[in-house]
Amino acid sequence: MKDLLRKFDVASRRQFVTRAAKTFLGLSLAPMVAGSRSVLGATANAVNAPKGPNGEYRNLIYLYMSGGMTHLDTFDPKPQTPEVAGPVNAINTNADGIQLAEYMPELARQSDKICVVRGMHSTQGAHEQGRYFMHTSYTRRGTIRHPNIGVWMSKLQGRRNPKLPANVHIGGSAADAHAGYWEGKYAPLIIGDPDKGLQNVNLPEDITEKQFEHRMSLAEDFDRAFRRRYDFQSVRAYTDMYDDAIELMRSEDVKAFDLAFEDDAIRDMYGDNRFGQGCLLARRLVQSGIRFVEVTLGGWDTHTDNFNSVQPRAATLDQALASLLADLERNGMLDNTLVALATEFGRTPHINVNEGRDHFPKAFSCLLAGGGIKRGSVYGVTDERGENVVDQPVSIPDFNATIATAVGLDVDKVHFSPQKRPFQVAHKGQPIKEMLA
Amino acid sequence: MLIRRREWVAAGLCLTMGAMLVMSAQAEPMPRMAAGKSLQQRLLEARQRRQMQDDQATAQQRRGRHIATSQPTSQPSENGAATSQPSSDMLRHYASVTEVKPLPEILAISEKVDEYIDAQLQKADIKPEPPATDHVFLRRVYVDIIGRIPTYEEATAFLNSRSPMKRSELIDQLLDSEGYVSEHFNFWADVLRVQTNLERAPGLPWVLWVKQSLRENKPYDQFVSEMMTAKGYTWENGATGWYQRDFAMPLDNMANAAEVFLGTSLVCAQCHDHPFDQWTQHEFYEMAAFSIGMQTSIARGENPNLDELRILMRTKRRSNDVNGPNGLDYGRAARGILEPLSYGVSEQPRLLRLPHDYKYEDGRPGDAVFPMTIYGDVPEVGIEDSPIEVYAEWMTSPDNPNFATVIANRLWKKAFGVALIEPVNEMKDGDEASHPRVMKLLRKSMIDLDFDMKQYLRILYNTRAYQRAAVQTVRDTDAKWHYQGALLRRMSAEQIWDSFLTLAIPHVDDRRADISRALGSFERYEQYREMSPEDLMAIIDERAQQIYLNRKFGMQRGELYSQIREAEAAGNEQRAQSLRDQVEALNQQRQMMRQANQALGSAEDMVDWPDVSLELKEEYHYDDSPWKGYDRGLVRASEYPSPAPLGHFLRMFGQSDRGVIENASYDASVPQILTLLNGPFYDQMMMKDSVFVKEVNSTNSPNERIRIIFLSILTRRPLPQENAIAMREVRANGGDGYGNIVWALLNTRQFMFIE
Repeated sequence: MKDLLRKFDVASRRQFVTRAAKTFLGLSLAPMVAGSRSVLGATANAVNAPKGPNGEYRNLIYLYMSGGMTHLDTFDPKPQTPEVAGPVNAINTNADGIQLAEYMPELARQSDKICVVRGMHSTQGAHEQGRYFMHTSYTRRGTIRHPNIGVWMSKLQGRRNPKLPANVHIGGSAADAHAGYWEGKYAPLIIGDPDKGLQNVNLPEDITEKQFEHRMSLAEDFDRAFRRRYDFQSVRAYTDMYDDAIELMRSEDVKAFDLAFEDDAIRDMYGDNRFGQGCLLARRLVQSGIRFVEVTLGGWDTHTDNFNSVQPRAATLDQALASLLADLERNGMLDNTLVALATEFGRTPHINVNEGRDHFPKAFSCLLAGGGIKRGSVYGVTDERGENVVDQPVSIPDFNATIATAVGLDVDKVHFSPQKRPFQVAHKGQPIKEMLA
Repeated sequence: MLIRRREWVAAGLCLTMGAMLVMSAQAEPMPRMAAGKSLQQRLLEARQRRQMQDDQATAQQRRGRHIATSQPTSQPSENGAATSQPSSDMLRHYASVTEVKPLPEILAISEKVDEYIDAQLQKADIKPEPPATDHVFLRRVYVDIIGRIPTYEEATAFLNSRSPMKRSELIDQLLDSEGYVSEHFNFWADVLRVQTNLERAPGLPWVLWVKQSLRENKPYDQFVSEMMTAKGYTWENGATGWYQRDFAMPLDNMANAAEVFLGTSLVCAQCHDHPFDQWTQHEFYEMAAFSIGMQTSIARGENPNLDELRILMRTKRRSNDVNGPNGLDYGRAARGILEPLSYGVSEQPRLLRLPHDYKYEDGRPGDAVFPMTIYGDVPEVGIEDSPIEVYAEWMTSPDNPNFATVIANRLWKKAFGVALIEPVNEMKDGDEASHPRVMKLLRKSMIDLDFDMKQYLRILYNTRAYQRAAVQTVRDTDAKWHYQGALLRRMSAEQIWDSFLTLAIPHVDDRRADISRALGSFERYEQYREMSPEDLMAIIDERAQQIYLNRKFGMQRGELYSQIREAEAAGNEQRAQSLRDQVEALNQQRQMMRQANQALGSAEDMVDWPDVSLELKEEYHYDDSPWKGYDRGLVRASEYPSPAPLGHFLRMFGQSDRGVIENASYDASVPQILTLLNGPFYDQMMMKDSVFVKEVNSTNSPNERIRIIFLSILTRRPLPQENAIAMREVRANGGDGYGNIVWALLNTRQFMFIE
């Protein structure tokens, strides 16, 4: 530990940032070719992912549209049925056969990277229940809690970068921030505000590196006898975690959490809002070896004034998602990163008296993009009102099984919880081959 | 009264069916409790009915003690922060309900436990650890019983005591303190999944009820029975939180009850025969048939006022008005009244049927299922009986083979770290305790003590086995544990937080969070309940009008704003300015309307509010003045919402999110360490009014100061070489040196691991 502490001789954070910016800025704009050394220490390895049983384990950026995203005004427009579409028109995209709502002009230019899933259907019409079902493939119960796919990835596939957590949520609900029935260590690390990044990672302002080192060595002096007496795994785990934390504080890896290292042009491209910056942070984190990042965009519960509410929401999504896909491609990360977009349910085709749309689990849309996905495609068809799935229906477990398969998880394997109850990654869901590349 | 299961089956099921039908014919509206009637009175009435049916004189006697009155909630002493008194002056509630056993009687049982444990140690040829030193015992027993380390003053008081019985005296003092309530609330909150924000009903009254039950040392059988049979709204009966916790999930709720109170895991059998245990799905349904009547919403017919209000609202909700409140405005306006009145617990006659996918031969999908317990004497549900009362009686009876065992085993695990039967919540038939004689003795003691948890804990903490030094070899978790020494344990998230606070905040156990607002709204709900539907509708009408006006105002202003933007974009500054003036005029108009309304008085002012007296509110007096100058957020973990918000220190260190039973985590994580290294709370710790800084400043001798720092943070004296290092530090860095020492000690393993 002491050696570790001495290695670092950074006079001040400001100085460090300046130096870092000089070193890294140019590179962060340059395309990152697979295997090349770049901004972040682990990036090179991030692309050459460790091999899983199904080949390469992919990363997953999971975008959650909280509140129930309207399918009719985003991914499944119905301009031919005006009483359903309201004022929303459809636009063509750069992929043959894909039309999106006019609120998605940027994504229309990236549609050759996406698979629109229009045949989603759920049994859960309330937010919490729906959100739980979408995240875990199981309906909510009072006696157990099921893990979501980020937990499964970290549990079954481990970490790509051992210095960083395997599972990160940016924003989102406390209700999802758990490891289900698995050990707490698989639970996500929470980043509240992407601009602030990881909390407490910097020394307090009045403490110099030297003082910090000195304090740490005092702590070791006072703790020596105790640690010798109790040479237990549980105690060592904490000592190791101190080493990890300090290493992280000083490492290049922690810069993954700091958006200040991104060029302003890139930051603007994603959009000056939490979701946009969250998507950019997700890209940075994946780049440095974190395989699962969930980013939440709320505000989709448009019971009143649907169109005026959806328009700015959709604009935020459109800009961030389109930028993310373009950025991933430019950085050579699109093939090994799956981007999934999910929501608890859709909205009613009927426009209510308040110009709003209500909850509608019977038919709605999700989206998959990037790695492992048949790009530029549409799966599932709803009727002319967007009310019923008429072809290629996709249940939530099947949707999740498709994601799981694309990231290298075995959906058929039965795992026994600590209570010895049998579970599968996506419950009984089966991957939909037509959506996979 | 009790008949064997087989005989009961033979006697036929029609009796129960008859009971169901009678109940449905007699279904009464929800009992309305007269205002001002105390919780104890209500309990008394409920109990009296059951007692009359109880022909067992002994059992009757046993329950007699339930009728004691409770003490009011304690208040911090007026001079709280000003003077620093040992918290032993907080002794007050002990024995308010129960009989305190003379110490020798308790020690005799402790001695018996030790005898059995030592015999097994001898048989296994394991040499026990020596007794823990006073310092080690002191830290351990504080953390285990009151959930925090001792202050310097508390430590000194114990260490300087010359009483030969000082350990037993300390145990009694701690069990009798408000700190006991705090630590044991955290413990039970994890077991029961107590949440301040429940799905529908307010959860805070449940939190307060659990605390109050612990404070008055409510016997455990009564504690459980009150939850199992709880009826009403949470704010009038906090115990109903148990059902509201599993809102609209009665089957899951039953499985949770079986697990927590009977140590029987039935969850698998909810959907299919249990694969690893003997329970069948049919048996699960039979158990659930007792509790299926416990409803978490107020159904039609239970409260005529509410029914009428709902009918009045139906028309309003359909309103399409564009020049006045529409249906949605009405919905929003009524929410604050309808929601609290709609979610309460009542027992309704309800027949449970086998699920549509039932696949076994002992029944068909849709078959009615009749209440039957999975083991023991099957109680009879008579025509006049409420199934849940019968079930609770069976569950909490001393004759129930599991009930007393589970609580004895659970509290043993809390004290010793390893249960006699593991896992506590999944005891299987034929599972043997690691120490069968100890288990048997403790089970019997629990019953003999009338389920008095404090008296029982006295037995455990007074054993030599508890008071041994910590084992220094790694425990093989697969092998039998012999209790040859204490297990090193990481403090819980709550214990770590509370220990930090102990250093900074005086009388930390007595500091309260401010919940007066919430209590005010509960009082309002109670008033709504007493009011006529017409009065309530008048209030809703007015609120809807306000909502409509706000909405209209917002739309008008929004429209003007977008016109301003258009004008600005077109470079028409003149028009933009005129539009801005219009916005200003609109704002003024709105302001005037508000003032006019205020002058007129609102419908709510006109209403003759019923005079209600809410016990919760009467009991709770918030006064933070003794802690003036200390950050408001620095209250004990048990005063935080349960669970604390995501990202809070408590959650970071593994506080259970109260999602599932016993969900706390003790694992290390990087954010924890970053918080300990760079977190913002050191400022509070080091401020000049912090408890231990005051202590340190009370002397000028560096040696003495170092001793105080060590004793305050680690409950021990510095070793000679540590003292030398510390002295060198102070000489080199002066005042900062002390700060460095404190920081260093708080970042040691021995701070968070308890020997």
